[in-house]
Amino acid sequence: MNLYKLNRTLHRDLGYFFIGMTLIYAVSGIAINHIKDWNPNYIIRKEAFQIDENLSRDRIDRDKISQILNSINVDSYKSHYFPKNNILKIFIDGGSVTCELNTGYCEVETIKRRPIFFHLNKLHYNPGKIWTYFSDFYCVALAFLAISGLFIIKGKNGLKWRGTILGVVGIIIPILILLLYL
Amino acid sequence: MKKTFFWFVALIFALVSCKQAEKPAEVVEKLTLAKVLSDNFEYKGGQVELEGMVLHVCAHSGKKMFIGNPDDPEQKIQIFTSDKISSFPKDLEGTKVSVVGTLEEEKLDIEYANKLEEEIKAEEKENSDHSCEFEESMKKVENLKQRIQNSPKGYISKYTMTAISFKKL
Repeated sequence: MNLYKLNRTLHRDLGYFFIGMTLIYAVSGIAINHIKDWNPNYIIRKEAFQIDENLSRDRIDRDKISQILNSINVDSYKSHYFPKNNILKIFIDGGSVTCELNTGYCEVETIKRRPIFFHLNKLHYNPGKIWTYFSDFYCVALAFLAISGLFIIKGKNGLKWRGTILGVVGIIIPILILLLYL
Repeated sequence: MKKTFFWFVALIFALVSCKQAEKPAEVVEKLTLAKVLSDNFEYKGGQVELEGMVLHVCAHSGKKMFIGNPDDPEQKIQIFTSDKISSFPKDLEGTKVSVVGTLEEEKLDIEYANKLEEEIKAEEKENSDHSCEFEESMKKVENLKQRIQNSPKGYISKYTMTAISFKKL
């Protein structure tokens, strides 16, 4: 097998083998890139409701908390505490309820794992040692794919013209962006 | 083709079967939040165990959370994940946990307090209405300054923890 053929074979097979990894990093990469615009891991819903105004902290007991939760059809109390003197936070299964005791304004927040994204992002954030090794292997393979890709096609559509132009442009763009942000 | 496939499989097995030699168990010092957060606490290194209620888990990455004393909201500590924990599950919120890890110290001195005060004042200048939050923040800075002045070390230690394990209680 000559070098040219070996390069093509390895490029092709590594490409097939890492389809899954590439999609994992591509999808979760976009998801995490826009972390300021959305929560890529959880679907968080907030809904406001009202309870009695001017409830003093010492009037809050388990019965009162049950009343508050019953009014929004929730019966999965976990625990509660007062982050501030006039703020009550009740933890429930899959979320929490926060109430301003002086105004009676409450908000129930429910949290659900975002399907697919939660798991893809978990992998992206590196869940453990085995993943570290496997993703290192992927990174090395990705570097190989980039370099070996240069030598797949010969002639003017290869490194002689098109490959060089596109490759150089692709390197200049991140350098320009880096200079812009430095 | 068969050869290439064989090498792939062999490499995967080699990676998966990599196993580190087991280290002897380290002594873990059990501490209370009150002790760690007191002005005279000095961390001597090593692993410590803390108990508290999970008050908040970062919903974006799950890489940090706060545990605290539900009876005293000022008594809380920020916990970060390490390479031993990928993330803290969001449903830990509201449950009592025990966390083992190491502490990181940040020294808050008078320079830090002055800078914080300036930042709060600058932020308030941008907001036209004088808010209660501003007064509350200023009170906290004053309190911090007083604690720094009273501290024999000349600074206040603020601790965070890097967790290596946790369990629900």
